[in-house]
Amino acid sequence: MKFSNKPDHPRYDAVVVGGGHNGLTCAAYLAKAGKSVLVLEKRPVVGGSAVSEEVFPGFTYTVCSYVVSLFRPHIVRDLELVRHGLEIIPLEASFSPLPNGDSLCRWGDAHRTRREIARFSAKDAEVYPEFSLAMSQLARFTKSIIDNPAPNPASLNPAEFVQALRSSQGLREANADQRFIYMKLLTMSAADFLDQWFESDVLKAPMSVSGIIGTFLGVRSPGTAYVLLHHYMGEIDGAMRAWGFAKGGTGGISTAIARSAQSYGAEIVTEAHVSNVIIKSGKATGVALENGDEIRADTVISGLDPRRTYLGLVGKEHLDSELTTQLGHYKFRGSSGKVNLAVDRLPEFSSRPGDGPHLYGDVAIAPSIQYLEKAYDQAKYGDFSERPYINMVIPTLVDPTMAPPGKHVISCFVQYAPYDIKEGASNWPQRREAFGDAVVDTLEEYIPGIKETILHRQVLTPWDLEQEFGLTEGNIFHGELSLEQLLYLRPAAGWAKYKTPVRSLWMCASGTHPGGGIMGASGELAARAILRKRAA
Amino acid sequence: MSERFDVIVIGGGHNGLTTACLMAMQGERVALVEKRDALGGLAESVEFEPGFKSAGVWHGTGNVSESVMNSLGLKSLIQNELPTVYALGESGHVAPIFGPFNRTAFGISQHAPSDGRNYARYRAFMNRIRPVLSRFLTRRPLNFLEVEREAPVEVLTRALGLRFLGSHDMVELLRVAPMPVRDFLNEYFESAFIKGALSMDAVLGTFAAPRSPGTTMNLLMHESIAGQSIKGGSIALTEALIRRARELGVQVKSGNAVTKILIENKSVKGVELENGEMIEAAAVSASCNPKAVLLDLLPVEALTHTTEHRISNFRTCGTAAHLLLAIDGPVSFQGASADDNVCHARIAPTLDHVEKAFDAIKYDRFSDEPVLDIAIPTIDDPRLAPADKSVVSVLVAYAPYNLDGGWTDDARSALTRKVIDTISRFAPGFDKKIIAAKLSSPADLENDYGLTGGHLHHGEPGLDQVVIRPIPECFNHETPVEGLTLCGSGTHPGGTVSCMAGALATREITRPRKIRADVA
Ligand SMILES: Cc1cc2nc3c(=O)[nH]c(=O)nc-3n(C[C@H](O)[C@H](O)[C@H](O)COP(=O)(O)OP(=O)(O)OC[C@H]3O[C@@H](n4cnc5c(N)ncnc54)[C@H](O)[C@@H]3O)c2cc1C
Repeated sequence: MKFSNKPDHPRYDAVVVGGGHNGLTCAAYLAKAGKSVLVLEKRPVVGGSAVSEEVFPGFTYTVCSYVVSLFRPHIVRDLELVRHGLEIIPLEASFSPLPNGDSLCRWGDAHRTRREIARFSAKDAEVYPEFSLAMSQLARFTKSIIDNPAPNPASLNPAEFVQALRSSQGLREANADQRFIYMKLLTMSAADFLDQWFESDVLKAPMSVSGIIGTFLGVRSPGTAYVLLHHYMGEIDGAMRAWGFAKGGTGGISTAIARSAQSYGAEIVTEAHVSNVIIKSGKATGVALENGDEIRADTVISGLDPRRTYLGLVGKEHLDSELTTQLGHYKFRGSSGKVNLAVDRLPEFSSRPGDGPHLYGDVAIAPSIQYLEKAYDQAKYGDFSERPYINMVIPTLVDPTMAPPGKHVISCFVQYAPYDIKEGASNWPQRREAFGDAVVDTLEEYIPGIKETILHRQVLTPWDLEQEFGLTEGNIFHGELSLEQLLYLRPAAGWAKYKTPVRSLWMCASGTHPGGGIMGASGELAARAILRKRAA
Repeated sequence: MSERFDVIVIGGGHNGLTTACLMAMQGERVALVEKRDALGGLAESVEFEPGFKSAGVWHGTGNVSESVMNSLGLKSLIQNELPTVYALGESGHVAPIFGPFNRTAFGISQHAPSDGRNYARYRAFMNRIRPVLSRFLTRRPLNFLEVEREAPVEVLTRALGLRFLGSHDMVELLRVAPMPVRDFLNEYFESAFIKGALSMDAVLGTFAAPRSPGTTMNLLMHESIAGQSIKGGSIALTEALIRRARELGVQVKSGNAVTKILIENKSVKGVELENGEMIEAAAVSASCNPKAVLLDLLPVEALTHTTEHRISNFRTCGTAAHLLLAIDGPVSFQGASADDNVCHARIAPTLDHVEKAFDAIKYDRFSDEPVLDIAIPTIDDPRLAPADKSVVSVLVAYAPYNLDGGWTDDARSALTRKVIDTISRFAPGFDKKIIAAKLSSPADLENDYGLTGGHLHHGEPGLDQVVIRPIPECFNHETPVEGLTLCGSGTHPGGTVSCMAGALATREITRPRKIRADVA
């Protein structure tokens, strides 16, 4: 997909800064409502961290994000994304190899999963369906939270009260037992929560990791249980299902949204680095580009994270000290990296040889809770984990066009890689290859010989994520998804409704409610808020 | 014929004693059964070496509720003078972190001027939120799982209570409560040893460390109850409670464990003791750990499967050991002047020290460099030791309940050694003065005091176990068994010596039970 690198007009109804999937979603909704819209993206491609790029000739990587689950189905319908090329293929399996040559695989088929789990614990095999059922029921309650703006408990406005009723609808329908579990999910650690149900580490460890992805916490840190729910909340084609691959990598999603936006008349310009928002008497009137160009707009919408938006595009001088303090408290501290491999054949796990269906899902290197905690403990004091948690997928199995015939790409999400290594974040480039080696060495323990099959390797440290993708401190979610920076506190109390203290400037990316992950929700909710405001 | 009482209280710790006294004051005939020979529970003074006595395992009394003391008629014990707690840092840094405001702020500012200013901000915030939190801690908790069944007026007043903080403080309270205490303290202070020492109020005895989310809530709760102390410390408190119980005619049966709670038609009928004796009463209130009460003392058929499952998941994994030392002469900490008269100090040089000390227990080991809460009770009460000698009481974090290899004598001496070495770094020559040492691991605490899992708080004070303590079926001190209530730290509002749980439980003992269809 090609984009121009010069806007057609000097002024627009709305200019969106940043062409991440949220910025694009926001732009598409605004354009669909008849506004003239311009999207300005710094990189040569759109998508932000939902991007696919041919990094080595013939090999397309799903560079950052790699699976989808939470993308809002109504956005797919509203923006006609399927017509614009969106295709999501469900993951068939979750495979966890063990160092002792054994392995566990959880399948789409419940009976098969039970048989696998029973090899480790008969009791767990019996409880597993019960657990899944309880969690799926709870997952429904969460939907009303994601699909509505976050109500502000400090406000006395009756409209807020109505909103609170809407967001809490799910929970109000729940019974006391369900609320009890929900409360535990919100507050407990993933490991403690799973301990209540299961005994086998082999099962608990790969389940617990969903709670730590993108955060600087361990599976024993309170608050990490909540994300377990997201695994039961996935909706693909409107059906409740877990995770899926986007055809062409997660860039496929961004491309579909970009096409949709264009079909409604939005203009997308790449290699356009916005240096600041132009502010006149407290009102945003346009943006200035790094090359000196200026573009006027009635409304400016930032698709960047809160720090970049407020301290970068806006500038401290336009903010009151209360907000600056809050922004100072807002935590990023990225904890993950990415290693993308091009290989000349499929990986062969010693614990499950061959290219069976276990490869058609995600692979978790998470052999035990202690293994994960050790990985975390190392990171706490400024090292990357020598033996990290790795979440691996092989996108070429669902989309062979991403590599030359017979060859494959492997995407490895890696934790922990703390942004603040003890050598200092800017020294990450010197540690980059050592980090890549740690990942490949870890893989080698489960896939003997993988080293020889590697043709190319791309290593992204948190530093690289910041430099290349504009993710402050390498945080993949535009700020930690911890309780103190969610809902009406994301990104700051009083400014959690996509609005900012600068008139006509709005925010629409993962640093706003409901937060990170490929959901499109922030972009959509922001567009709705803007359109409501304009109509009023 | 077995004896009959109106109320039987199981366990003679400070909460059990409080419940027994308050029930007796209402004219009930009360029996108090205690497994150990003496009363006081974790606050009992124990002679651990001829001539040397402890001031209890929980050696502080800064959390005792003034209102409870008033209702017990023990108002005279309360003194408004705050006990000073000192933080000890590397290379002779000493600063008060808790105590009379001016002196504390001044002491803190000596190490970083901004810390002095920020301490004033910190205190002011604590003082503003105290009314809200102490209301939560001193009242019947609201069951938000079944909020529809609570009286709407009650719900509204509670919500308004929070609202009356003003929108700024309310949002701030809701923001910080679920935070890791490390992030919270970093927003205020610079000096590493001050942050380290302050964090211990949030994590001591818990399965959590400064980086664990939710630990700020523990600090806030601690700050909201702390504020006065007991003249003469925990020994005076225990003695006074025992005296009061006897005056009120409470029948004390010590040296006798309850082995069974007797049930007839889903209602409590009495208890059976170790020696075979039976005592009858239509009301039994247990101050021991809820897990022990429900799983060990009740017949299996008294609980539904769900209740049994929930209570067995109540987290009670102890993480602190207690070390008693008999010392020849006084203890002087490097950098502390004689005026300071340090009788309560903490060694937690940085937040990372605390965190690293915690890391060990995740792998069933104890810390190489433990962090310590040190009391020298002989300064306030010289009777505890022979002339010119001292008693030092140390809560040691972290020590796992399930130690890899078990709590053998070797393991105990190894940890004792580490503690002594650590103290000696901050009090040179300390190791030369040791006459005797007695270490109680969490496993020992379980054996000696019947503390399930050796958990000093009777159950992990994680947010989930704070708001619903211990489980929904036992919410608000009730149990699924008619007439059986819980009055210990495993119920609202939780651990440390506050006597609040014991006091709140008494209301449930006398309250006619509402009809609950969901309790079988
Ligand atoms: C390594 C990694 C793995 C992940 N894995 C998953 C996953 O498997 N599943 C999942 O659901 N989520 C995953 N995520 C998270 C998810 O990708 C993000 O939360 C989401 O894509 C963010 O979208 P966004 O539109 O909010 O912001 P972004 O995608 O960050 O978009 C911001 C855009 O702004 C542009 N920009 C920055 N500065 C400027 C400027 N000055 N001028 C112009 N443009 C600018 C950037 O180039 C970028 O395109 C992952 C993220 C990362 C980094």
